[in-house]
Amino acid sequence: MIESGRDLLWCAAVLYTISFAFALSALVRNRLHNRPLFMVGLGIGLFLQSWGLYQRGMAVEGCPLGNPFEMIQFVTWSAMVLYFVIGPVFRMSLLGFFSAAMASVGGLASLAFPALDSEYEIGYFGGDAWIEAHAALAVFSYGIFGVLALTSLMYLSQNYGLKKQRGQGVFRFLPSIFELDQVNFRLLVLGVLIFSLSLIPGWAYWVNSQDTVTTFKLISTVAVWLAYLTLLIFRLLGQVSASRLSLIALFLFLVALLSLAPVDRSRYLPEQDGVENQEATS
Amino acid sequence: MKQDTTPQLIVYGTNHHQADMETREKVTLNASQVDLLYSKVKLKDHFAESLILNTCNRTELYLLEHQEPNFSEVRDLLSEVTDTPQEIWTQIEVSKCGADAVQHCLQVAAGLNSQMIGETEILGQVKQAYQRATNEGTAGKILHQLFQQTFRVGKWIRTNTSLGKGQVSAPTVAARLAERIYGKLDRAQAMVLGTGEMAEAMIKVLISEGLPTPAFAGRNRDRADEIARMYQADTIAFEHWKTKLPKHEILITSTLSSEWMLTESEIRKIMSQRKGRPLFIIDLAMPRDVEPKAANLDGVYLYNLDDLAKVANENLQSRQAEIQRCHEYVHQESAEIWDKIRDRYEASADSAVTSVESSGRSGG
Repeated sequence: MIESGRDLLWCAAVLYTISFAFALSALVRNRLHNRPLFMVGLGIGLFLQSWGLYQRGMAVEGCPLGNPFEMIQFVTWSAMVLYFVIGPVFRMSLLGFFSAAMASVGGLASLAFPALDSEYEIGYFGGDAWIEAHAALAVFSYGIFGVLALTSLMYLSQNYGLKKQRGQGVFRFLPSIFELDQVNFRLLVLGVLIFSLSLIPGWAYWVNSQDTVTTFKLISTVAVWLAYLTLLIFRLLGQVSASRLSLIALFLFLVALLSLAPVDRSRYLPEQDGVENQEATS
Repeated sequence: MKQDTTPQLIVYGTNHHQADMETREKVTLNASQVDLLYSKVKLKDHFAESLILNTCNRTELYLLEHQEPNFSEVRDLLSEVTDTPQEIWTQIEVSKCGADAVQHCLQVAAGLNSQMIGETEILGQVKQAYQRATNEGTAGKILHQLFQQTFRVGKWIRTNTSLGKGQVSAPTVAARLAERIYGKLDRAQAMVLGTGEMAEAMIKVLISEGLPTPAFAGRNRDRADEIARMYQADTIAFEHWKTKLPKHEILITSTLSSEWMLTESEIRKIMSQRKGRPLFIIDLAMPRDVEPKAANLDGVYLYNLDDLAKVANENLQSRQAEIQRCHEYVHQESAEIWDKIRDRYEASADSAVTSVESSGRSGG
């Protein structure tokens, strides 16, 4: 287990959890939470998480994406950054609540299982800025797909409330399905765009070092990308309804998260290039 | 023959508590059936007084009889007029007499028996029914007394309790639902099919909440034009409303048609032209205008009167204490009103006997 930054990431996860519980307690009382207080909680959480990941990055001498723990942390961090960016633009009521829920669950779960934070060699990207950019962009796009999964969940909740004639509680505060559909579409476009961009340096690296990338990693990455791209094309052609798109986006995000494990397992192996193994950070 | 000194006041019929929407569609009276029922009731000499309360959620007959109440006779009448088997009426009937009938009448007028508890529209509907009975000449001393007291109690509850506080009307529920679908109402174009009062009341609220001027369509083109003029809106020719519907986001329908105005397969076709845009349908008609299974279609949000009431009553729990207080007040008032009615009835029965006896003495 790599100790660097864990304390800060624990603090961030606890703050996300407190913020989530604070918003949830208001919702249970059929009210909307105090937004400034909630945002302060999330903001400090994001700051601590960024600091923790920065410390990690310094310790591993690269983007901290070397094990499942770091990937989950990076995905939740990306989702939270995105929330702070798109939240004010889209003015989506309860997006913060759902983002806090995801950051809280993701953060606590990744910290609770030390096995996820397996040790790995320092500088395992081999100092290649392009492959590091590929990894960072790809995982950031997963963050976008994470937010898309959240807005999809919000869409499905609102749709359920409307179909089942429920209007109280959480349904009262959720954004309209029209707005959620628009946001889903924009997030899908953004996610596919950034994922596609991430594949360019990844592809360039693969062309030159095919032996360092396993077929499984290649297939799972391309499959996730193709799945989201296909969903986007179907949406553009009007061939998929908003509720079906939400269901698929939610399912795809779970698949994408699961695909991170094989991607991690088959990561760049320095000994294959003859690069000396370095001792794992501790 | 000496007149019975206990007034045989009864109420017989059905309402949303006993009958589901599908059954209510069969037993709700249309205008000609109300006329027919009045004419049949008038032919029965032992029905001294009568009043028909017919709304989309209740069909009730208030009667003062000169003999022991015979509910099966009233059931026969309603069964005949509505062309519905007696077995159905047996399953859905509400039958009360004496003090219970008075209490029921008060509860109805106060909105305590309504689908949306605390709604005030029902008091107006009861007043209209009373006016109609007065015009028909079927409301006599006892029903006059009952309904005057009913209006007093209804008004008192409306003024002196917070029964209506937190209560949301069907138009307000529809506005909130439209916001949950489209966000801002100014994004939605609405079409109103039918020229009923409920649709008009709903559109008035929706416009005040930001809905752009809707388009109106109705079989009665003159009436549709008249309403459209009031809102400076357009009228759609009745034969073209279905072809225009894909361009609208909200359909409010309240026709008197006994057939589906819009079937599930028609809506499916319409949705295929809408490129995923949702369609909000508010079916205020009784019988319903839109085939209910259309609610299962993706992107279609179909609400009928029962559905709107279900949403409106979601906050009932928080209003329970006040509702209970109103029920207690009605219970107390109904006992007093029933006593007064009995006193009056006895007095009139006694005076009738006295007058018969004195005329007998003078004659003989």
